[in-house]
Amino acid sequence: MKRFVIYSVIALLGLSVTACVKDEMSENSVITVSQTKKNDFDRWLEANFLLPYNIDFKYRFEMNESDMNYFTIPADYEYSIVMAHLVKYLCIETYDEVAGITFTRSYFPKMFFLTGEWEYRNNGTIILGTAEGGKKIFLAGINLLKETLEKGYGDFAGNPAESLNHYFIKTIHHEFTHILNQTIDYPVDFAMITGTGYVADSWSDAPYNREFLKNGFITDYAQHSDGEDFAEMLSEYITHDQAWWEAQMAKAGDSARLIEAKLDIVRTYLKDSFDIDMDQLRATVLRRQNDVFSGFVDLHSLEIK
Amino acid sequence: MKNRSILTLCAAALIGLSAPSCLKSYVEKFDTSASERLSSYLNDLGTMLSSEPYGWRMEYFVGNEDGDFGGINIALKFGSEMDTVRVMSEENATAAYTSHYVFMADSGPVLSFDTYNPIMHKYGTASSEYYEGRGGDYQFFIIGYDKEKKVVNLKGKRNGKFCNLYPLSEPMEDYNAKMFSIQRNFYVSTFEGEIDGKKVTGDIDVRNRQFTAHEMEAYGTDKDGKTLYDIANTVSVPYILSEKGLSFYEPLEVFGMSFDSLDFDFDLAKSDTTFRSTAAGISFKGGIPKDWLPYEFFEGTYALTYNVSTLGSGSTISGIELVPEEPGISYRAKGMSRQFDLLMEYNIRTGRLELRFQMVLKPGTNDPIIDEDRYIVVLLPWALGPDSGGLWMNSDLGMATEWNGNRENPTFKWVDNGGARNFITTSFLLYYYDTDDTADSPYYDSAEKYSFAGVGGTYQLPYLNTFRKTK
Repeated sequence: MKRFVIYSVIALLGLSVTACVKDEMSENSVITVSQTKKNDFDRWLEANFLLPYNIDFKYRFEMNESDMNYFTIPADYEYSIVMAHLVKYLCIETYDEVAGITFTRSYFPKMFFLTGEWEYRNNGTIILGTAEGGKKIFLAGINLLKETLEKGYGDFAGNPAESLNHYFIKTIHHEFTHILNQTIDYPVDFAMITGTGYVADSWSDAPYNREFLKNGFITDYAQHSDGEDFAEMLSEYITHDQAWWEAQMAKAGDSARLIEAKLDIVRTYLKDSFDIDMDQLRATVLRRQNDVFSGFVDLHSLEIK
Repeated sequence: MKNRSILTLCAAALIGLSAPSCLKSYVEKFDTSASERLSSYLNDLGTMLSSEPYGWRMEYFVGNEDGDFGGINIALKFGSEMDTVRVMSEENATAAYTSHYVFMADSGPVLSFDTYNPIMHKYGTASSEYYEGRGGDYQFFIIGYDKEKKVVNLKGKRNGKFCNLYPLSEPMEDYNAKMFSIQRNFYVSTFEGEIDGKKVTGDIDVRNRQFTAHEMEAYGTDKDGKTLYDIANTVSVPYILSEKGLSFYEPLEVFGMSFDSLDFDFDLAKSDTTFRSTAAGISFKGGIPKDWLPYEFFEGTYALTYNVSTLGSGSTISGIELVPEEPGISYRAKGMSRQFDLLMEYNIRTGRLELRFQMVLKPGTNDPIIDEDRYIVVLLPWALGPDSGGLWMNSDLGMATEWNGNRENPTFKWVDNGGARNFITTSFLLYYYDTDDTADSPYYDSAEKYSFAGVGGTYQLPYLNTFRKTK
């Protein structure tokens, strides 16, 4: 009798399962997604970002990709095209050249998301960009790119090259450094060198906003935390020439040895973890920056080669 | 025995559980899925929007916790490919910008203007002054649309203002030019009238498009027997200008009477404005600012005084001649300097003249002082104070004339023009602006080779004080 009951239960279970899969699946998904008509820029992005690198370059605003803590606006269409060229020429192809296309395909973020203005914080600071989860780089301020390239912007007004570097290109290298760190962490020794100097959100307040070099940091923002320090070290170094670097070290005085010690760790990390020569990377970045401002790159072209 | 009972109960429970799941026989209420219906709904709306021959006007209401900026008429022509949209605003007579738009299935159907448009995103743009923007949305929930009545009801996704779309009956350029003219010539700032024999007064903030009504209460009489009133209650509502008059964001209730618009004749706005609501049987008499002056009044010769410091020590520039530059719009001020003229703009809303940020010497000017044409010189607003001295290159900023009310001997006091919330212009500076891109060039610097007229005049014009008409 006991066995009979058990068999009955099993049979009923079988019946109940099979009885519920009688519906035929439709070939078409019931979910439809919003479709935008592909324009020339979309086709150019497909040929230059999506197919070779599997990178989704989002220039049309999506609230879900933005940070709802801030009030952002969409990026300008024309200057999204310019930014796409800059990312391609100054970043993606730089890493292709220095580390090989396999490195770029493996590690370079799979999504870019552009917005028009900076993200303004209520403490007077702005956010230029962020990196998320090793996959996405968010770039703000695209609508200021025109002024940046024509006249220079903000603290670097009158100097378009340094302005572009500071507000955009360095930001990409900075965020990409975070992505590399999220892939392979850097040695803990790095955080020890100026371990007591990190001040979190006070980095933009006096005296930190003035005394950073003397305190052993390459920028004011580097004092935020060791992760930001690492990203600032690499991104500042590779986007500036040796004369600039030496001038910073002279200003740092005795603390230059702290900055140089951290730079050695960054250099070793890049070499050991990703087989990238940091000085070769810098030479390539600078040469390509010069190409952009020499008019070598057509930043508006949508011709697919 | 106990085990058998448990197993039997389990079997019964399973039968009970499994049987109803297989008996579920439901009838599809719709032929298509929710997603497909939403897609179809949006496609229909897209066709409706793009097929309107002259496009649409949006009653674009703007505001957030930091302030309310009322409604702005925006003209939109949606492209036939359901991708691009051309936009104009009553704030500028001729400027038109094309950008992209998309319909999205978000937490409901959404119309999103998803590439930058200087008009659509103007009030949503954050800045150091407004870090949350000024309450302008560019993504809208589609609350509904009516093909017959031709109306689309939208609600801002972030700031929550209702913004409806209505079809245009003329080319968008014509409509926009008309609305630009209406808003520019509307400067009625007060009104007075009665509802059911009860006195109503009010203010109209034309800058931020707010209509405020005061329910007045009599509390006594003065020595001449004239009734004295006090404000018993105040109600306020954002408005938008229409071709007929004022249209309110929501109905306004004054002394129990509710009305959502007030008509008036724009041609009479300068002299004899009467706001009417025929439906509510309301009539209010409008008024203009007490110190409002017509453009023509300002033509003449003036003496300008400024103080070298807050403590006084004044200096005077005499013989400044205001010559009409663009009639009704601006004057050329000759004699402010021996080297250049300045432009003073007439603000029709306030009836005042304004001296604002401007280019003093344009690029390429063959100027004997600057032999290189890469420099320009600007008049820079200066928030000079005892402890501060901010400079801001912003064409909204400057100072305005405040009239003393004397028609025979008019004297004006220079006051901040209210161009920015946290920048009070008290002074001006002349600055070089270098258009060259080289790294070593200064971006801007004091233009010390230039000077204002008057004894001891330098490139600085600190603490503007008075502007007295002498002829």
